[in-house]
Amino acid sequence: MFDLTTAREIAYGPGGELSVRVFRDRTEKNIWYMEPAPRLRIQNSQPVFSLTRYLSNDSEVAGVLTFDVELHAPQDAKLAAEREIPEIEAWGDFTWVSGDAFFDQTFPGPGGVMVPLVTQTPSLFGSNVASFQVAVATPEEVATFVAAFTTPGGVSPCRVEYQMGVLTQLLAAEARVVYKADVAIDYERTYATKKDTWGNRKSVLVGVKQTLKESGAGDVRVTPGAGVSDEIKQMVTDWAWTTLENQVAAAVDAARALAQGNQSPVSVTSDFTRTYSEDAIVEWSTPVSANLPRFDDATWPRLYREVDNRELVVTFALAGDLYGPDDVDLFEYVTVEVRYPTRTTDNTFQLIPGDDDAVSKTYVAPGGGTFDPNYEYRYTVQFGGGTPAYESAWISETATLVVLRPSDFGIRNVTFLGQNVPFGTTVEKVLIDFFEVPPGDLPSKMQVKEMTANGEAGQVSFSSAYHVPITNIYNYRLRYLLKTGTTVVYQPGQQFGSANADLVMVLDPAPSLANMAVRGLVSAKKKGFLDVSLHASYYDVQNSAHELTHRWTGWNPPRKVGIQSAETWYFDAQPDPETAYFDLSGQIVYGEGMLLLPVNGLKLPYKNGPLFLSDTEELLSVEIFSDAIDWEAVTLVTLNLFQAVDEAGEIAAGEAPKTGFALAELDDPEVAAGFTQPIAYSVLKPADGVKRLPSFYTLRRPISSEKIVFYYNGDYVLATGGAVAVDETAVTGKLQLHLPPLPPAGGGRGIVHRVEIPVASL
Amino acid sequence: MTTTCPGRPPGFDGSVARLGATEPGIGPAWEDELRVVCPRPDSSSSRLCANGDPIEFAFVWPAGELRATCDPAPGAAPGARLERARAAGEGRLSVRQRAAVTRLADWAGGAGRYGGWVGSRLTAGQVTRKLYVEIVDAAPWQDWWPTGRLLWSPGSAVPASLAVMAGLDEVDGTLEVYFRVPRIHPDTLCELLSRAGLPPHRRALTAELARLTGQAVRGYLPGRDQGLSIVLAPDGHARALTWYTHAGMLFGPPARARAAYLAAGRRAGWPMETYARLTAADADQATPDHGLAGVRIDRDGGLASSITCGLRPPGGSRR
Repeated sequence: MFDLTTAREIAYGPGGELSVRVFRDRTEKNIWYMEPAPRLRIQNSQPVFSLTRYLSNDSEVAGVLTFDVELHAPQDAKLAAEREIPEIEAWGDFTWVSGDAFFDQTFPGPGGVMVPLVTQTPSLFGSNVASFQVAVATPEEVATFVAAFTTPGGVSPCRVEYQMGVLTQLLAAEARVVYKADVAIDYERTYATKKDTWGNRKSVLVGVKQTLKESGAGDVRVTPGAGVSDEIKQMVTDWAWTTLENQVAAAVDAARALAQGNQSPVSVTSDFTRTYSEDAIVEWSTPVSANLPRFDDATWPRLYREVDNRELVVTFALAGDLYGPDDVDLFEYVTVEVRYPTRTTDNTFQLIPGDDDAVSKTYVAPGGGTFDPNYEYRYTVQFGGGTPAYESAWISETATLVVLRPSDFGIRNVTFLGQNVPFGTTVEKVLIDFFEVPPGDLPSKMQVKEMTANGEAGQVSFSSAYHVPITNIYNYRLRYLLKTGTTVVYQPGQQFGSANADLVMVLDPAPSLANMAVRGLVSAKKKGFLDVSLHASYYDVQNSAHELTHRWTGWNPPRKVGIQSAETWYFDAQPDPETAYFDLSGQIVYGEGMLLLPVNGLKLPYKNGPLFLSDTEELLSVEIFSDAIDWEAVTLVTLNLFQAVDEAGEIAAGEAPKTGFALAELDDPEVAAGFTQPIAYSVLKPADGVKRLPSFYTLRRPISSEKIVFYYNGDYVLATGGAVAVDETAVTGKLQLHLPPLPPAGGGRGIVHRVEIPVASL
Repeated sequence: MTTTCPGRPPGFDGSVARLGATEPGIGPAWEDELRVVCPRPDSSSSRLCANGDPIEFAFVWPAGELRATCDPAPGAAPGARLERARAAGEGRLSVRQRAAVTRLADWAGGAGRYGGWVGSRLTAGQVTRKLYVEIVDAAPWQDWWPTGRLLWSPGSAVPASLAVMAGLDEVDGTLEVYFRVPRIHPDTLCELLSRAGLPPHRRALTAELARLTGQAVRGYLPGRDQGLSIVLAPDGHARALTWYTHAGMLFGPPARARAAYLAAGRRAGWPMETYARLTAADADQATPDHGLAGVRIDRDGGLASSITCGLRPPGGSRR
């Protein structure tokens, strides 16, 4: 692990105009690390770069640009560093724990040619190759690229950027990052008409980067330790901003699931404050970037082609952490076979982990007549060591980039790392319950491991190898055993495996700043709210929190169309996201018709974020009981709840009843548009110190509607293997969903049921 | 004059009073000049500033120079405003500069977004002016100046740049061309400086930005909307290059920008009193709007930081 307080800036290159940063190892004083720079990859003395123009008039695409980039430490920079720091005896390799690569470029031209941002996931091994493929829309844009790469002088204006994460210890300073959601909402409201701020899923991080600072919604405070130089303080400040941006981007992304109908995800984010004390293990990340080169007259003809018809161009790439324990490759190689009518031979190639020259492959099939984007591929994984190979079925696809991740080969690695856990003083140890849904009918089991130290010394890894594709989802629960004998439980929602590494930071279980925000959505000036009076109690029975209460009295949100925020309630707690909740009572007077509706025991799950009142809806909560489940036979129960929405994105009052359909149907965007995003619940098999507590789901009822409608599905993952689905469960009189001990076998997985309750019956 | 800044209502009178309070003499002398070039200083419908202010002050450090840019006809059509601006600012320009103004006006043909502005500065008790002329979208500027070839061609170092304004200074006969550019990288800027015959001090600019913002420049220069200006001497050689972005994108709300400049100025020993007074928060704790932040690199390697600020907080006065 490198010591960031030893950072040195090294000037190199002609006139010393270029610079790199180097760091010393914490323990091996003669080993140094160099921040690498991106460059175009060269293979067999040829740049891995190709620009193709399609001469026939395809309506969508006029050409394609493909290239590979990689990270490297320039040799002259190393020599310059060795001259300046004589104690350097060897160079260490960073162990990357995450990474992203970006290519975005704006060119002049008619109407301003714009190449949309392209994000790529680099491999975490070797030279961290990232393969880009950019569809070029018009012949003018192709010409622009040609000029960019061939005009004599310097480098091309095209630039790539890498953001790679590496673990280190924050030795130099304490950093605090703060996010204020209501400021962000206000900013977004002001600028909503000007730009697509934070709503664009793919570029959410870029959007957050661009707007966080200017909105004033983010702030960073760094307190340097004794003897820390301005330069180090600067580095920590810079890192803290990057960290805040990543966290806000994650919060906005997570809030998508909570945003109902037309709500913006930003409006469903909550404030947060995080303090990174000195000595904390952190993921250090700084962006590095470089321009792509220009090519000389001898090289260019080998890189640029013109063909009559649009070709099928697909990049296949390996991504993810492909090493098992002891840095052994998890498999030997993957053979990919592609089927496309215009290319009948040479359709098979190999991808090899750890081999930079074979980590990705761009497959090109000639065009012919009308372009058909549909192709098929299958892959065969050779695991080696006597394990039988796995051959996938033929997979139909139209994507131009196919990324093969370890889960596609039935392999998963998740590492847990203690960041700030007070081991030795308050915490005895942390038990980590790790669970993933096994494929097919293989038996399932919960893996439990112990963590007793922070950092790499105490890191705990879970690996599994099913050797058949698995879903990229897993669950975990942290049980902090305190010296006092009590247990603090933290179970976040389902985790989606990251693109290239799964690292979970285990944090201090001490209570920290939590909050509850109340927002009102005013849909029209004549509607809105006349009075909102609420009394909130916070409960976290799992972690034995004392009851905390707060009162909002006579809040009268401005009757301006948009989202209004009441004052936020802050309190100290360490909530278990799975079971902590607020209990709300009081009354709301709606502006239209001065309708008064009482709020009586509304249970708002803590993980749901702010209380979001709409002037056209009443909020109710469904209580989900899991205490009857037969945990001898069952390992995990997953549950999804959602509601139907109309074309305007409002909760539907009179939607066509639909029941008994498969949850998978929501993968179709047209079907999904008719429902709110399902809220997922994962109920793990109980363990020591874990109580059996109900969960809550917040329902919305249009004020004009006489009935409450919601949808749910529940799957039981069985210990012996396989899964069964919850049957239709009657919900009458009370908004309660009682999960049965064990549903009868034969129920299809993922079947959705509809519940309709007349308001009058409640 | 008894002026306690925070309580003073914002606007032109308040701003002039604040200036006068720091440097006796500057208020009355300059006030008359500003009222001549901006006959309606209390207008809130100018396109000069985002909040509608018709006057924008600019500070340039380390010298601590104070300048103003004025809208000679708030609310007027672009053609009419350009006429007014020319009447106020063209008188003492060189023959070469006047030819440039005529060409720019011909290109605009009375159209455009705003037409032009008038700059005014008080140097050693002497009032001088700078005429700003809009370069309209349709203007064929690419082949006109050496800067055109530098900043426009498909393979140029700075892709997608667009000339937007020219500034003609009566003091030294220079022509300053302003460009809107996409996010650019320090390396690109370095290449541009070197092509323009200016010292390619990449790290000087990024270090200055880091000093101002408290955040190191890693990757692109910060801010989505960026601008460049190149000052051309009468002999056609580049004399300085300035990089700009919106203060809001660098610092966030005006109060943060103000705090950042005051802190950086204090550390560097810049004269900050006038700026501090002019931009003090009003009774509602609102800080006057801040516009463009810039860093200039001169031919001799000198470095200067600039910031523009309006008369009132963003969105106008709360009063």
